[in-house]
Order: sequence, then structure tokens, then C-alpha cells
Amino acid sequence: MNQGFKYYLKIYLAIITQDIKSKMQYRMDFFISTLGMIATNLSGLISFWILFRSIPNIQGWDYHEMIFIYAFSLLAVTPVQLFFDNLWNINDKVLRGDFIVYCFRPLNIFFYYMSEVFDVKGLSQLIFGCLLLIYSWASLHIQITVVSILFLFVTLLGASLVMIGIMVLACSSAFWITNSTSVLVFMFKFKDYSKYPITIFNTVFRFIFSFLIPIGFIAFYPSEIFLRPKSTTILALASPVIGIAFFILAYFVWMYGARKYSGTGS
Amino acid sequence: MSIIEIENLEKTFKVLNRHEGLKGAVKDLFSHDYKYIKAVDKISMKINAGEIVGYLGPNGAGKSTTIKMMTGVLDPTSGHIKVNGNIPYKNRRINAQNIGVVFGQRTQLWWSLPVIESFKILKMIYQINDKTYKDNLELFDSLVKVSSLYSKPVRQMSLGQRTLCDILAAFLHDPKVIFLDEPTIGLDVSIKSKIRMLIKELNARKNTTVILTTHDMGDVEALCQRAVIIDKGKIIFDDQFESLKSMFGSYRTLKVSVDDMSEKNINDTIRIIESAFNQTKALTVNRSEDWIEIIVDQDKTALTDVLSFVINNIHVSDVKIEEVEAESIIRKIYEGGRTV
Amino acid sequence: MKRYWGLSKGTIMESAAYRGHYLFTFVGNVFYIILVYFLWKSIYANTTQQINGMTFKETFMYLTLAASIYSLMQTWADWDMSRSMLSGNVVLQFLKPTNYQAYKLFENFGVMVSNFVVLFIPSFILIVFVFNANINVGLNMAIFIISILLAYLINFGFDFIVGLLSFYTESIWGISMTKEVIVLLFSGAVVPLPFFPEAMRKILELLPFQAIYNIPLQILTNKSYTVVDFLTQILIQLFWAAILIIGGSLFLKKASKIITVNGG
Repeated sequence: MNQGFKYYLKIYLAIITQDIKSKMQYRMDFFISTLGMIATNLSGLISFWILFRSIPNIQGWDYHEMIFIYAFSLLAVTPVQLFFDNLWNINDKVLRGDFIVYCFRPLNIFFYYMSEVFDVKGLSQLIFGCLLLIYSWASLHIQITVVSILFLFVTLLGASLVMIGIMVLACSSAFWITNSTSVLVFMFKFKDYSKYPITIFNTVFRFIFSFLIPIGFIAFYPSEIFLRPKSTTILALASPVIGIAFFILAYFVWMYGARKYSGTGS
Repeated sequence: MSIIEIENLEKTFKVLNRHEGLKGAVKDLFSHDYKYIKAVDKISMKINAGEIVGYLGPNGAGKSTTIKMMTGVLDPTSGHIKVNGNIPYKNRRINAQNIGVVFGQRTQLWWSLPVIESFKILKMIYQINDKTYKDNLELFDSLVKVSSLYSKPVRQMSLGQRTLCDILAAFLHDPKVIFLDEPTIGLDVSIKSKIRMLIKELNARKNTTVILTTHDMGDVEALCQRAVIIDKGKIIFDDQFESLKSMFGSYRTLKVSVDDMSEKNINDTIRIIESAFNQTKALTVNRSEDWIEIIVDQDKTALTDVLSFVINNIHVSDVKIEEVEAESIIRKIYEGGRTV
Repeated sequence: MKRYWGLSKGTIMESAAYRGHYLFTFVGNVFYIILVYFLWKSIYANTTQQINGMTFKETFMYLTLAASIYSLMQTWADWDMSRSMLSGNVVLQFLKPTNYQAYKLFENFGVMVSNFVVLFIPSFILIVFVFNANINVGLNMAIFIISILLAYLINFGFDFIVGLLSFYTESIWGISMTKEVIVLLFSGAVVPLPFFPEAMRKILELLPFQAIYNIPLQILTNKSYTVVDFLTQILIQLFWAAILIIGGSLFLKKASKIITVNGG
């Protein structure tokens, strides 16, 4: 059996292509979902715009800097929506006993489970986030160099992995408790908090949002690298590493839960 | 040559004794009050390549625990298990490559995709070569004429069509062993017989070993040369199906319902029937849910005699006659004190 | 009437089964209150007393109480309707001898009552006592309850129309999400209305959205309100509730054709 990266990629692309094809038969749903996604993103932008008419900055962060952090958070949240949307179905699958079927293929269970759904509506958020990032990037006159672009990709990857990690951990709760959708909803709301500077909080909550529910790494810490290059903290530079470490942790917790559950449940 | 070897296989689950209410839930968090449940208790069996084995038993007997150990989802507490030379729980993925699994009402096909696309993805997953893939599709079509279904998304299919496709998908990569769990549950007679024919044909042509768990004795009768019965974690019967049939083939279940379903009236009715046929020892009478169930040994007394007695002496509201179910057979094995 | 109240009672009883859900929702609300506190504390940090005529305490109270009202309004009527449309159960509900709109209203009213007890009251107590908000105790409380009931009617009016729209689109996420962000933003639940540009605010005050959050909140917290103000605000709410409910029932007449044609 040869199951390298290429093997998995090929299967993944095949599933996604078919999935998109079948969803294209429901074009109406696609358009309306896109509308909902854009409305949500736009409302975040409008809130900032209204707010900054009355105030010059929040703790030294001005309008365009806040837009940068917001755009960064939108982009960092996109991968979990595009590629991991099936985690919202875990409660049903576990309660109905359908989860067991993911254990019978010669595939990694986590891969097989998550590959099943690709959520197209996340694409509109990707485009919206990109445009917003370009706009704030230009307004702030941040230099465009090979290094800065490279940094952007690396930090975005790390930030996405943090967000994925948070949601995968929340998803794992389904293997222990019966009400995991509430946990998912609860954790998913924190993505909205990530667009604010962590420094607004006091020490206790700064600690919580950096290390327990690490939403600070979704947008604020990595953005510091671009917005405050001279006073970048250690946490900002460490964000990609933390993203990888956090994702690996979440992956192992999920796999442990899945094995434990299939051993007892149904 | 045996393709599945199981020796002294045991699985014990550690279960927390739960307490009620919110206070109980908090208590459970810190509780060490466990009980141990032996789901599978030192079972041994050997299954040869190409056999179709009916693996029977009531719910909670340990059937699905055994199947989970054979498919590598669950590791045993002790004992040995080998499928196709592999230890399943140690190499789940390698094992999965060599087996196929079908769960009656849980499809493993991609819900929104046309079946043929699911097949193409499976071709990639199991790395099936073009020739085998093509030959198998031709074979499938020659057996059950399914190619007209291929472009239909799974979610638009009837349960029967879906089960049919699920079974084909399980055979697609030429697995050595196939596990079928209640493949005909909830299906009507014509599709049931179609599925039985399909399994029988594919087993014959590809020499695939089939492990079939079912409640439907009709499945077993149509397919299995051998039956293994498990109850309370122990194997209580493992022999040719013929010998099981010769023991119980002459039995029929007569189900009677009465208007007054009170505990007292039911017990009285059971007593009346039992005493009437006491001499011949031809009956076993039980209550099963809303019916009074009478298992009749036709070698000792005629079914029609029992039926006319019941109709003449009891106010019945409904009557039906059934083949003996697995559960009843197991009960008879215990009562008959048959040793395995 | 008794029949409808039975419906509400049924859903109240059902809600009791979702203890875990309520616990997480409540803790989520607490986190939101904390966020609002720190965020607006920072916003007010580099200014003098007031921004747009509102002190920190007023803004904080306004936004957190709006969030508590939001959790009250979460009865998922539109999602319910879409789900029963897709599963075909909607036909059964149409066959019942009750008016479909009233049926849905009272069914979800039960959810609202549960939300009020389990989510709103604890959040309210937390905001008022822990964060030491000062709220008048008197007539405003009684009017507030009436105002909340009317706000619920208006909110249900929107949900019902969106639910009916889903009969056409056969998809709910997008429209429901759009409705939600529009209602929240334009009602001042995210950023208080006094922060909006003058022209925008003038328009928003003519729209029904602010009647869901802004009016009950003003009734509860605005100390300069007289009895006349109370009455005018309630009348505005009544007006919008009537418009939306009547609009919904007219739309229902059109939309039920879809059900009878497609058979659900």
C-alpha cells in the first residue's frame, strides 16, 4: 500500500471536485449563501466605520490598522469554513451511530471524515478578506517585499491552524458529551473576538485569550509583525509554531476520541 | 486454509455506574465506581476462505463487538485474532484494504454524489487497477442490471437501491472478506431475494468469505452453510446450518393477540394454552411485547390443532404464523440443554 | 386560545431538555459582556466623559442588554420552517385546524419564554448587579415587559417571512444570516444608534429594526422618558408588529400554493 501525500491529495481533489459539481445543481443555495456570507463580513466592516467616526483609535490602533486585523482574521477563519465544515455534523453522526462507517476504509479517519464536505460559500469570504487586506495594506503604506509576502503566508497558515485547532477540539467533545453542537457554536463565536487587539483586556483575559482559547493568534499577534515591526513581541513571531503545535494537539485529541468512541458507541 | 482465526478472544468494557440528576453528574466526574462488562467472553473460531457464515444472536449478545474487533475498530482485551494473516487492531488500514463492510441502514457512499462517482473515488482509495475495476462493473451489471442507477445521487435512492449499491461498493476492490451487518433489514421481499442472489453469486465467483450478521433466518437459510450463534458473549452453537435447521425446521411460531392485554389475563391465557398441550410437551408459550408467542413443535403436534384450540377457547383479536426467529432458537437451545 | 397556549407550554417543557445548550449559551453571553466591557473601556479611555452623548456606563449597559434581548429572540422559527419544508412535515402542519402563522407564533413563544427565564434574567442580574448599572425601578419595568413582547412579535414577523422565503429558495442559511446581520446592525445592537451618522440614523428610525432592540432599551434605561414617550414608543412597536404580521399572513397565502403544488 502506497499512501503518501500525493495519494491523499489525489483523493481529496477528486472528492472536492465532485462535491462542487453536485452543489452547482443547487445554484440558488450557493448564491444566497454567498449573499449571507458577504452581509456578515460587510456588517463587521460597517461597524468599524461607524465606530471610528467618533473615535480616533482604540488603544493606539487606528481605523486602517483595525481593518488590517479584521481582514487577517477573516482570512484565517476561511480555511476552517472551506475544508472542515463537516465538523458541524459530528453531533448527528455520533448520536445516530453513523460515525462508525468512517473506520472501515484504508484511510486516516480524520482525513476521511473532514474530506466529505467542502463548503463553497467560504470562497466569498476569501475574496472579501483579500480585498480588505489589500486595501488596508495599501492605506497603511506597508512595504511589499518578498519577505513580507512570505511572512504573510506563513503567519496566515499558522493563524488558520489555530482556528482549525480550536474547532477540531470543540468537535472532539462530541465523543464525550451529547450536546457538542452547543460547544461548537460557543467556540465559533470567539472568532468574532479575534478582530480586536488583545491588549484591550486585563491580564487575566489576556492570558485566557492567548493560551487557553488562543484567539489572539488568529489575527492580533500575527498582525503585529506587519503593523508594529519595531516592537514585535515574541508571541507574534511564535504564532506559526504555536499554530502548528496547537493543530497537532487538536488532531491527536480528536483521533483519541474517535477511537475511544468507535470502541464503545453504537 | 482459515482466513479468520480467533482464539480465546475477550473484550471487557469498563463502564461507569452513573448517578442520576445534576448532583449525580458532578459525582460521576470524580467517581471510581466502575463495573466491568464482558461483551465477548473467550470465543474461538476458524473460518475458511470462501465460506458464508451466519453470525447470529440477540441484540447485545456480542455480535457487533466481535465484528468491530475483526474490522480493526476495536482492540481485544485478551486473546488472538487474525484476519487474512493480519492482526486487525494493529494494522487497521492494511486490514481495511482487504475487507469490505456493509452496514444495513448506514450508507458508506457519498450522499450527494452519483453512485458511479463514488465508485471512482473508491477506485482511487483502494488503488484498484483499471482492468479489475472494469471487469467488476461488467460483472455487477450482468448480475443485477444496475448501470441505469449509476448516475443517480445516493440521496435520491430508495433504501433497497442504496443497499444494493453499498454491497457492490464493498465488493469493488475484490476484498478477501466481507462483513454484512443486517443487509436486508427493512427491505421488501423482491429486493431481499435480489440481494441474496447477488451475495451468493459474488461469493461463488470470487471465493469471497462472507460474515453475515442478521436477525432474518431467511437470509441465513438462503446463504449460509454454517451458523455461529453467540449469546451473552459466548458461542453457544457453531455447526452446519443444516443441523440447526433439522432441529428447528419443524418449529413454527404462532402469535396471538387478545383484546384484554392486562398482565392477569395474559398469564391466564398462557396457562390455559400450556395446560391443554401439557402432555405432548409440544409448546413453549411466552409473552413478547403485544403478542402471546407460541412456539409449536410440529413433530409432536399439528399446528392446526393448536390454532383451532386457541380460536375456540380464547377471545383472540389477531393471529399470525411466523418462521422461527433467531431469538427463539437461542431460547430453545438453552431450554433443550443442548451442549455445543 | 387554550390550544395555542398548550403549544407554547409544550415547547417550554421541551426546552428543559437542553440544559447543556443553555449553559453554553449563557457562558457565551458572559464572555460577550466581558468583551463589550473591555472593548468600550478602551474606546472611552482616551476621551473625556461622553461620546455622542453617551457615557461609558450607558453604552455598556445598552450593548449588553441588547445582547441579552438578542439571546431572548433566538427561537429559530425560520430554521424550523425550512427544515419542516425540506422534510415534508410542513404538509402535516398545514393540515392542522389551526392557523399556520399562529401555530408557529405560539410554538416559538414557548421557546422565547424559556429563553427569558434561563438566559435573559441571569444576564440581566449580572449586568445590573456585578457591573453596577443603575436602572430605575418603577413603571418603566412594567412597560419594558410589554415592549419586549411586542419586540418579540416584530422579530417573529421577520423570522416568519424569512421562513416562508425558504419555501421558494429551499435553502435557509444565507437568508437567515442576512436577516440576522441586518437586524442586529440596523437596530443598534452592535453599535448604539447615537454613534451612527445623522442621515443614516434618521432613516433607521423610520425602519422596523430599531423597534426590536432600541425601543425596549430606551424604555428601560432612559430616565427622561415620560408617560407620553412610553405610549408613543409602544404605539410605534404596535404599528410595526401589525404591519409584519399582516404582511406575513398575506405572504403565507401566496406561499401555501407552493406547498399544495409541490406537496412539500
